[in-house]
Amino acid sequence: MRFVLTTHYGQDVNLFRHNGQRFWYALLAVGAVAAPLFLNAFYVGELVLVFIWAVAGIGLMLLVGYTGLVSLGHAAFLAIGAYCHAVLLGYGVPFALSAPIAVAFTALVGALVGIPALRMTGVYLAIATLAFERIVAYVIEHWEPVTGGLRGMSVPQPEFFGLSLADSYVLYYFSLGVLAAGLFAAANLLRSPMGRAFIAVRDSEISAESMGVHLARTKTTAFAVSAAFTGLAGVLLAHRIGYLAPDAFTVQTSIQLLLLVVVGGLGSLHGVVFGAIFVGYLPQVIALARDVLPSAVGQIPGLELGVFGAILVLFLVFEPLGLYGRWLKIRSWLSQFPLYRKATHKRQKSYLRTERVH
Amino acid sequence: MILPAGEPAPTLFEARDLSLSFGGVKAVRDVSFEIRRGEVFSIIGPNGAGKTTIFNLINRIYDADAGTMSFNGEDMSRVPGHRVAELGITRTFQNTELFDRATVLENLLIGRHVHRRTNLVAECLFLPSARRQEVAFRSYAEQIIDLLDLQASRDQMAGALPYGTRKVVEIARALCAEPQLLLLDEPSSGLNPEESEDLAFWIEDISADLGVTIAMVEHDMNLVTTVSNRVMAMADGAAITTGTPSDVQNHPEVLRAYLGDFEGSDVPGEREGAPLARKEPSAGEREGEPLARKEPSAGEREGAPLARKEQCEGEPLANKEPPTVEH
Repeated sequence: MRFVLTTHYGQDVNLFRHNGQRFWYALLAVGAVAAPLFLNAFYVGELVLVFIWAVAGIGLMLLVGYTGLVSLGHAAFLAIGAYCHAVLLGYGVPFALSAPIAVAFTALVGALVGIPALRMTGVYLAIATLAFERIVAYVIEHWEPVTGGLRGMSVPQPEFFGLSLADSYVLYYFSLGVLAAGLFAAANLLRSPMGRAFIAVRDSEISAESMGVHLARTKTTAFAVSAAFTGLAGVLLAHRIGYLAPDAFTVQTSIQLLLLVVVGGLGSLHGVVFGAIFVGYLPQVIALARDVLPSAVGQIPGLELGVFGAILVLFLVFEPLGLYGRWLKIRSWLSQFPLYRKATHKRQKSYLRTERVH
Repeated sequence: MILPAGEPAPTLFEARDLSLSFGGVKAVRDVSFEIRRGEVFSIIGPNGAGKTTIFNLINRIYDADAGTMSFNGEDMSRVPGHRVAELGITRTFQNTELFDRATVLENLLIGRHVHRRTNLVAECLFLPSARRQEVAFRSYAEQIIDLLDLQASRDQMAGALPYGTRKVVEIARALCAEPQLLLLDEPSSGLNPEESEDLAFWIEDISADLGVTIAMVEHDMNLVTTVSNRVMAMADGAAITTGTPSDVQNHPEVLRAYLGDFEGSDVPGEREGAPLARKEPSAGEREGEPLARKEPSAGEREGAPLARKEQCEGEPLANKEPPTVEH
């Protein structure tokens, strides 16, 4: 156990509480920077995908995990970011301009989607965002002059100083930087009034409003920020896959993103990274399992979706705090080792909303 | 708080002829009242009298069908709900509405939301302005934590706290906004007698140390008579009477609203003691000192509350004189 002596409030505000944390995160950063030296291009490419999942996951985590608004349409924001960026690059707009424009445009669309969300929650909002995802997919499929329709379009790969984002090593460091900046920005937001307003809206709208939180503005902001992160992931994804087609952005992508935030652990940024690793490598694991499993099971088309759904349900039932919650429990078991008691993390009965009388 | 004698304090909040119906139910009927700066104003009445509805009207959760409200002399009848806290009115809820999956400290920091001066960009980059604001927010929240003795639960999840603590955290959160008017909706419901007694001290502290005007909906007549300067009694959506606690307690209409019509109860004052104040001195004993609240006897004061009182002295929030401790 570690007890930190707090001597000034600035210490409470800091991202890292003590030097131990600084050491481990620095080690992680060094490891992430050094990793490509020891990996071949295939694994570097896979890690890039994990980073992209994580950037998109930050967006969905802010919305679902912190603001309590469920979205099944985040693949649409991914697609808007990717297509907008690719189309602008195609028109000869430099990368340094087209990426911010793509992100800003996605944020704007997100804010517009957020407006109907002011009146909807829970399953109604999920269905509305699902419908939005279908609309965007329809537009992409049928706006052939711009998006290439079902044939798709290739993504121009600009070069800076002789480095091309088509090179997976370059893309690796670029995505790593974007992810680090994204996590930094999200962590900052969450230790500031607006991030706490998200939490307030999630836990009790009526008291959030009575504490001066503007509900409509907060929800719209949450949608816009969430869409911006996901659009940024779309920009990276465009370079990662190099060729955009509508089948890269389906409902399955949205569900995978939701799986990411739930499995990772709702309401934590650590969970985003855990979830991204999980979702990034799950298809590989399933592909390997297909070879091992008896052909009656292994050859079922669309096995992935079934496995995703099953894992989602299992986590919701057995570990609602996700992988990060599980990690916290393991860590406290280690830190209290001989004294750990089984009941420490027993779920307590608390005052659930449904039990209250209004 | 003990108000100076003579001139009545200036009006802080005023409601004129407020009315609200839900379908055929007239929840509030032509209710007028004023809350004076610095006082503790209580609203009592049987269940369904419209007390909480009055709070929801002040808080702009409901739109009044008729009537006006003004705060600091300015009309607030059409102010949007999220602006009410900015004006200087915050509240607690009858069935606590905390942010359950946030820590107590985070709950209090959300209470400071009205003082947010940073924009989204400054927050995402955590510019020096955002850091300064955070540190200032923390230090204010810590002062409220000290005032209400919440140090032990500071970093706990609000959802996991015992009920009594949740009630106190809610008051703390409302105070973090630095309100001029604090609305307490049944602060003592669900508290045990000891917690209720603590609450009475805290209400006095908040009133005296922070100079916050308090309006309170409450059923516990002990608490009401202990802390209130004035009381308004309601029944069936209408205000029956407003006055000092003892006047209201012995008002025939109030007794009728609570107890119904008794045979031979036309002159309630003649009955043995006042039925609403079981542990209170009878009306006769209280005459001549309507504003002076009942001071608990020395025996009642022994124990935890004293320790807290002492802690409050030298408190940075105490811009006025520290609360007196009677041993």
